[in-house]
Amino acid sequence: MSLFDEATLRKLEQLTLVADRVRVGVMKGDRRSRKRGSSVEFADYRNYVQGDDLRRLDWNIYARLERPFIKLLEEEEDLAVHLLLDCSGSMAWPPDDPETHKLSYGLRLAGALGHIGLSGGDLVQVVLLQGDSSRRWGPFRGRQNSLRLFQFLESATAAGPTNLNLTLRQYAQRARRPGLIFILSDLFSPDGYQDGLNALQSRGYEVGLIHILSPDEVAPEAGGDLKLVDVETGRQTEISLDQATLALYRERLQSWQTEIAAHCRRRQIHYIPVVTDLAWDKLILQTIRAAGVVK
Amino acid sequence: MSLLAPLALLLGLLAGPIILLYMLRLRRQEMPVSSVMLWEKLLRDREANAPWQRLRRNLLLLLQLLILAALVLALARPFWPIPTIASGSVVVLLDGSASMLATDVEPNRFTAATREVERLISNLSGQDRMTIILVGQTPTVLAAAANDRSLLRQALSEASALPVTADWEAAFALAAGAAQGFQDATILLISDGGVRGNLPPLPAELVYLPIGTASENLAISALATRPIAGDLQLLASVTNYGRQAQQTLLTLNVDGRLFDSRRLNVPAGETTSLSWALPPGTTAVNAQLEPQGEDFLAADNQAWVVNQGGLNRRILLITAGNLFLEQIFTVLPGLTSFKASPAAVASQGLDDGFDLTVWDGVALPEPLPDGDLLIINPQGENSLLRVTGIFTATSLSRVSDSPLTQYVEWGDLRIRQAQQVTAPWAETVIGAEGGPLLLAGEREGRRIVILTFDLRDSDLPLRIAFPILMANITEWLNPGQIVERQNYQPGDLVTLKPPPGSTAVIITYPDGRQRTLIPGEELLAINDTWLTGLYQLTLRELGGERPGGYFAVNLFDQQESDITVAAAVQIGETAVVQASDKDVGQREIWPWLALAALLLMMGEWWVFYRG
Repeated sequence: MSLFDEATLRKLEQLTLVADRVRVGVMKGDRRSRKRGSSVEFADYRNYVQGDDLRRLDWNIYARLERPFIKLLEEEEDLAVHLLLDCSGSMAWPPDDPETHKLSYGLRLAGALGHIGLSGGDLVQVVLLQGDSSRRWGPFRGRQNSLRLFQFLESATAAGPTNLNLTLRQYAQRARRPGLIFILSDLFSPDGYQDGLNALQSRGYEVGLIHILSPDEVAPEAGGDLKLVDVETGRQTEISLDQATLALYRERLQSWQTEIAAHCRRRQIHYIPVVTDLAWDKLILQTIRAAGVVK
Repeated sequence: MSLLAPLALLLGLLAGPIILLYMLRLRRQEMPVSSVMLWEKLLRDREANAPWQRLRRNLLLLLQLLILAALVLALARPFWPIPTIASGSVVVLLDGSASMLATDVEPNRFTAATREVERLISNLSGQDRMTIILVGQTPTVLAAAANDRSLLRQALSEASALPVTADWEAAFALAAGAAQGFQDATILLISDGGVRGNLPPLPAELVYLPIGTASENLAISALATRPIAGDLQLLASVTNYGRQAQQTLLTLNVDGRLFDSRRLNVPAGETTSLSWALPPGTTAVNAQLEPQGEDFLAADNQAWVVNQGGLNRRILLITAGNLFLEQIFTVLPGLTSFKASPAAVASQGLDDGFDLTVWDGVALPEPLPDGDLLIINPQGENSLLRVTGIFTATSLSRVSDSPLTQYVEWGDLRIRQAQQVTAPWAETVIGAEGGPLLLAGEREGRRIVILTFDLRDSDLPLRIAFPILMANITEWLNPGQIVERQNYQPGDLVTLKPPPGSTAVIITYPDGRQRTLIPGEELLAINDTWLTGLYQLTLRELGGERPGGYFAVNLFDQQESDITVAAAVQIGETAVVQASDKDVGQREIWPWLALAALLLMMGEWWVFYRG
């Protein structure tokens, strides 16, 4: 397999995905839920109120104290991990530099996160977002599925436009098992992404937004009178690039990212801006860890 | 508005290539990017911040087209028709004589005249040609058949009026030559009308543009001296050329000292003459007018007269009695002779201030008197000479070539006896077998001539050679006039004839300026006598410098002093009347268009870099 070598996989297997705000599981997992339920481990007592399931009444306490108490049990559950990778045309960039190629970088990142999830017993589902023809993998559980995941990822290509808002809203509506969701995208979606994120959050997802940009997008170096052609949409823009304009562009990019970060902070979304010249393992082990999504 | 070069408008087709280049320039290089989202936002912001940015490119094209339009229009040479005095081939006769210095128009008539010419130059159209002739004492062509305005203006700026008499005959001859060969020639006479002389008919239309308004001028019209019965009389005439009676103060200075001052009342158009008896020995007289009323020409308010070439040569003859000598010094021109007896000299001593002392058979006293010396029949011994005896072998053996012997025909001169004289510093000019007869030399800055025999012991006084020899001797001892006349008019050629032996002639002008002329083979002359006043001459010789007299330059010219503006000018049978703006000139506006193009270019540059 070409995405990762063995040593990297070992390193990844020591990590665990952390979700603070997701609490629903159907199978026993490796992590404890903060939701009280019908498990076996005792958690606490509370007073009985009308309508409570009488089966969960602690009759021993009732006999001793003659007061009805409901026994609360700690429920152990698994985590559903969703990895949504933007495979729109703009992700196939830069076309001539495989080192900083955004899609390759996103695939590696998705692979790594998926492997961490599978190794941790989480239910992992990967979706390659691409217009109307999104491709889905999973959900699967267990590290034995990692290889299949990597094979699926290697087959990915980036092309065509993607409406991030629409795609995310649709995904939220179809969700059967909300959980931790990572969206890997350059966010070059003219219609925006906020509504999609809101829809996901309202369905109980804990959202991590990994914003992938290539170095030439962060600091373009072209100059002169140009006609810029959007590789994703084919839109054209005429511009005369000089130092002042380039400086203005950097300023605009900065404020755009600041705006995204502020929005995410307000919504308790993990926002992780990434430039593809950063080594991806460094990203996993340091940047994403620092964001508190992985430990 | 019309165009002089309408074909230049074809250059307007260059707008095509400009628009083409502009469109080519808009075909930008395509560059793929991952997304134009941010770039579009950026452009939206920029356009919101500076709305004219969107227009910038169109503005540049517009400015470039405007520049082209301005340049093409300038090349097409548009002009406004304006009324002018003359057009076509114009020959301007610009009066630069003394009367044009009158100040009845500000600052003076000549400047007003040059302004008129300037106006004509500005109105010259493309095919017009202009010749400018400055009419002074010697008319000069300042510019010949020129169309270049800057050249004409440059030529005009170098012209100036001088207190001289204009030579209209020569000027008309030049104008006729300049107008020949042009069908549309117009001769424009810009003057105050003091045109005179035997003027030739002109081959072109003559237009007269009078300059000046007033005629008030008071002038010294004559100032002269003449000897009457041994006295020197000064005559002065003051003329009022104006239309009103004038009061004036006439001040006379004799040799730099105030001599007399009189108040005169001169009726309009009249001349008042006065006379004075001058002190003997007067060298130069200056007369000055101070008019009390209006007087628009200052050049004729002063006059100078020089008496006897400015060299008042006083001769003292010391003799016991010699009729020949007394007669000859009275007859020779330019000399004032005085006589004294040896006894009077011995008892009273000598007066100073004589240019030449003649010692006839008298022993010289010690110390020697000042000035040059002519010693005839020397006696005794002194610091100059020693008489050692008498010789009778007086046949002429040698006559040297000297200014003293010039034009003298000696024939068979008979001399009874002569003194044997030894004077080592002197050269023998005429030698006899027995010894020298005539010696001459310089000693202690003075010239000395020794005639070694008594005139009465020879037949020399009876010969024609005698006055010539004496004239030569006095001329050599104390040279006379080196100019022909004492009075000149401004601009006259003054010929100088320095005496032999002069190494230089120094001329001091009335304004104190000095000019040194070195005698050589060429004729010595000056003609830059533009200033009226007294010119002083100094001769430089081996022994030092000595005065060479004076000459005066005065504007005694009735035509120039009469500054009345003539309404018409009479040329032959024809009276030429005043000009009017009947022709149509052209005022070109291309310099303004060129300036507009320059400003537009600067604006285009600013728009380009500002963006």
